[in-house]
Order: sequence, then C-alpha cells, then structure tokens
Amino acid sequence: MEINAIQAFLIGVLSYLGSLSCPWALGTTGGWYVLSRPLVSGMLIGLILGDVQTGIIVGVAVQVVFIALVTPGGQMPQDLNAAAYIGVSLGILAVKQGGTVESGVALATAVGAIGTIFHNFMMLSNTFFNTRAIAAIDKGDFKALTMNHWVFPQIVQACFRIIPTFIVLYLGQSYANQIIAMFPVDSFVMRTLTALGGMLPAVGVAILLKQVTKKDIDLVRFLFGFVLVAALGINMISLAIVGAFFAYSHFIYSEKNVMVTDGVALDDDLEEEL
Amino acid sequence: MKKLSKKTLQKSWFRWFCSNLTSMSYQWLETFAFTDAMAPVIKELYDDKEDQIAALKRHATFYNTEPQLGSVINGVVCGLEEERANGAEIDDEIINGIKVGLMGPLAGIGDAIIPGMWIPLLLSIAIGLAKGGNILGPIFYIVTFLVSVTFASYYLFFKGYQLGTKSIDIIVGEAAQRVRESFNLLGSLVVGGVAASYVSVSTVLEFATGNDEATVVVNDVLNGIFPNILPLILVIFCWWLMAKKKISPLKVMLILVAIAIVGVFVGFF
Repeated sequence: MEINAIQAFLIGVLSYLGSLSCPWALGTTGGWYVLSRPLVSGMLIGLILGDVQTGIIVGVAVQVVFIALVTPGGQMPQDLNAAAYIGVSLGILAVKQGGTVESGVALATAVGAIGTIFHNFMMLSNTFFNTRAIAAIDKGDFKALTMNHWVFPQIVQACFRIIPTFIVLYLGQSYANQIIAMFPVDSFVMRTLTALGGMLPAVGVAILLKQVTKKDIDLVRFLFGFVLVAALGINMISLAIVGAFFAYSHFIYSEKNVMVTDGVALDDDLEEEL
Repeated sequence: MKKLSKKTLQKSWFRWFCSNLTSMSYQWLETFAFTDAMAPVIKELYDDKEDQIAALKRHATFYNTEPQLGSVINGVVCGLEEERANGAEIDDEIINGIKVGLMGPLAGIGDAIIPGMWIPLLLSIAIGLAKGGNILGPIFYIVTFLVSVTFASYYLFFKGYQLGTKSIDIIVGEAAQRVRESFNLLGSLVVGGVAASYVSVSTVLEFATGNDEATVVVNDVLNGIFPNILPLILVIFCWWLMAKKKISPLKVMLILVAIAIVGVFVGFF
C-alpha cells in the first residue's frame, strides 16, 4: 500500500480539523475530543486509504496506549493529534507491509512524543495574535477581534498540522517502511517498544488518578475499580453502574454530615463574634 | 427594558462552543474566546460605541475553565450583562469577580466529569465494540460523546442565563462540592477499571528447577498472588512519581522508556 498525494493531503486536513484549537469541526468537542481520538482517526484514515478494518484495528491499538491521556492542558507528554494522524497512518502502512500492530503502536508513540513541538509552537505563536486582539478591543473593532481570534491563528495552526503530516506521509513513507524492515519483531528495539507500549497507558491513568484522588486513602476507590475488573472480570458498563451506585450514595449520604459541620462552623463564627 | 433575543444567546453559545481554545496561548488561554463570545451580546445591548468598547474591555480579562461544561458561566455572564444594560448596579469588578470565582470550581467539576470519567468510560466501551476492526466502535464513541456533550453545553448555557446569579450559589455551594466528590468517586472506579483492562506489563522470566515440568513461570506466580499485579504496581509507581515526587508526566514517560530498555536487556520483558 502507498499513500498518494491527495490521500496524504486529506489526512493532513483531518489532522488539522482535529487539532486542539481548531474551531471548524465543533471546536474542542468535535475536533480534539472526537477527531483526535486514534479510535476515530483510524476509521477515517482507513476510509481514505481504502481499508477501514485495518484502520480501526491499528486505531484501537494506539487508542489503548492513549486511553487515559485526555487532558489537553499543561504538560502534555504526547501530542495526541500527531499520534492519531501521522502515527496511525504509518501504523496502517506498517501493518499492510506485513508488520505487527505492535510495531505500528510503537511508531505512533514515537511520533506523538515529537509532535509536542507543534503544540508548543502554536501556544507561542498565538501570543502575537492575542496582542492584536487587545488592540482591536481598545478600538472597539469587532471584526478585527474575530479575525485575530478565529481566523489568523488558525491559518498558522493549519500550516503546523497539514504540512508536517503531508511531508511525513507522502515523502517519508518509504523511509518509514525501511525503518520498520530494519527492526524485526523479536529485535531488541521492537521488544523494548512493545514493552513500552504496554506500560504507557499507566502514565495517562496516573494523571487521572492524581486528579481524582484528593487524599492518599482515596486510592482505595481506584483499587476497588481495579479489583472489580482484574479479579472479578466485570466489563466497563457494569463497572460504571457499580460506580454510579456508589457516587449516588455518596451524594445522598454526605448531605447530612455537611449540614452538621456547617452548623458547627456557624456556631464557631457566632462565638467568635460574641 | 432590553432583552437578549434567543438567537443572540444561541450565537454567543455557539461562538464559545466552537472557538474556546482557538487563540489560546500560555499567557491568555481562553480570554479572547470569552470576549469574542460576548460580542453578539454586547452589540445587541449597547448602541453607543464607547459603551461597546467598555464592555469588550470588561470581558478581556484572563479567563480559563473547562470548556464544555464551562458554558454555564457564559450564560450567567450574559444574564448579568443584560441586567447591567437595564441599569442594574453591576460594575466591572462584580462581573470579573464572578467570572474568576466560578472558573476554578467549574474547571474542577468539569475535569472530574469530562476527561476524568466520561471520555475514558466511553472509549473503553467503544474499544470493546471495535474488536476485530468493527466500525460500530468508533461510531458509538462519535455519536454518544458528541450528542451528550453538545447537549450538556447548550443546556448549561441557557440554565446559567435563566438562573443568573442564583446559579453561583449552586456552582460554589456545598451541593456542587458533593457532586464533584461523587464524580471523583465514580471516576476513580472507572480509572481503576481502565488500568486493569489496558495497562499491560508481563515478564518472560522463568526459573528452571531441574525438572522440565516444574519450570517456574514468574508471571503466573505473580498473577496467582494478585491478578494483574505488575500493571497495578506500575500505575501506583507512576502516580507516586507524579503526586509525591512532583515529577512531570513527560519525565515519567522517559523513566518508563528507561525501564523498558533495562527490562528487555536483563531479560525481564
């Protein structure tokens, strides 16, 4: 399988539409959170390249690595958009060339790490348009504000996404194939990357875990979810229902306690005033 | 008596919904998204150019929250701006104070719900459906996520507009606190399930005991002690690095790279 220029361009456009700041595909909701999920990008790239099934298989494998890595803000260790479009495309090529799905995942992870450069570039270049937006606000120029918010930053962003994707996919595909061919499945490099691919979801999980645990003892909730799946083997929908039961119970039964402590707090305040 | 038309409010919501991160930079994040979303509202409420400029400036202050559910703040502020245009004593300080006061708590609730629980849950279900390259998986995710989040964002915007300042008590009140805690509880369980399903670490270590039939497969022994014990240890280790040692996710990833290299080298993986 080869990617022709039109296909490479189309994948680049999808990559742009799914990038973090792009407004045209219902903003972050339809873009970042939908188009930039490897599960979705795998299907779309598969459609463009004419093999939806392989697309989804590779997409799912990459999605697993990034399943918990959802927070767009702050210190992103991986650029999901680059992994979802450049990475998954190269992965599909690798699989069609007889490579394993794991080697495709390894490629996507490597691309994702490099892709963070584009994100940081955008965050810096937008400062320029922000300054122009401030000037527009001072003059009450609605049109200039909208242009410097909606349009100009997006022209730059489109270049950041479409051009690298096109170059890597169209001009770099033969190199990618050669690189994959150099490292057979049981080579040191591929075994390392496969082991890494299995471990990487732990980073996203740990970020979420840090976010949902306020006290160390809260880890026991995480362990409970882990045990339900690992030891009792229940599926995610069942787990969500069990979780919803506990969440609802917490919501109902924590009310009284809060009211009591509120009362105490009120008394304390009164005493202080007296 | 000025009244914002439904069309103007819809425009304002849609601008926010699509462009909340469009011009984001480290310094300003969602500031101009908020200002730009207020533009249709300002145009409808104020005819005088000076008033329009003052209103734009009022909303061009640092702003950042969870974009999807944060639309409720846009709704509240549209309501405030309408009251102000009708002569209510609401000065710039009050409006800015409300925005700053709400953006933090909403980012907390929003992050607990959307990236902390809803996305990992929907993705986990979708991955299950997509086994073998089944198109049902991605379709399920696209439809459920888009419909649920778009509806929630739209609904919250108009709820915020209707309730106005009353919604502030709800958002920063103790009930909201309990809602956040409840979602964190649900999120913790979901994250636990995700970890058990998708983090995969296993060792190829084996010890020969001299008797071919009694080779000790270390991975089986470990899983006999507790299923998926290696993935669990790894997640707790990553969490400990980030939460206790304040190591950035990027560095944690590099540590995992090192572990993978050493692990393969010594024959553990």
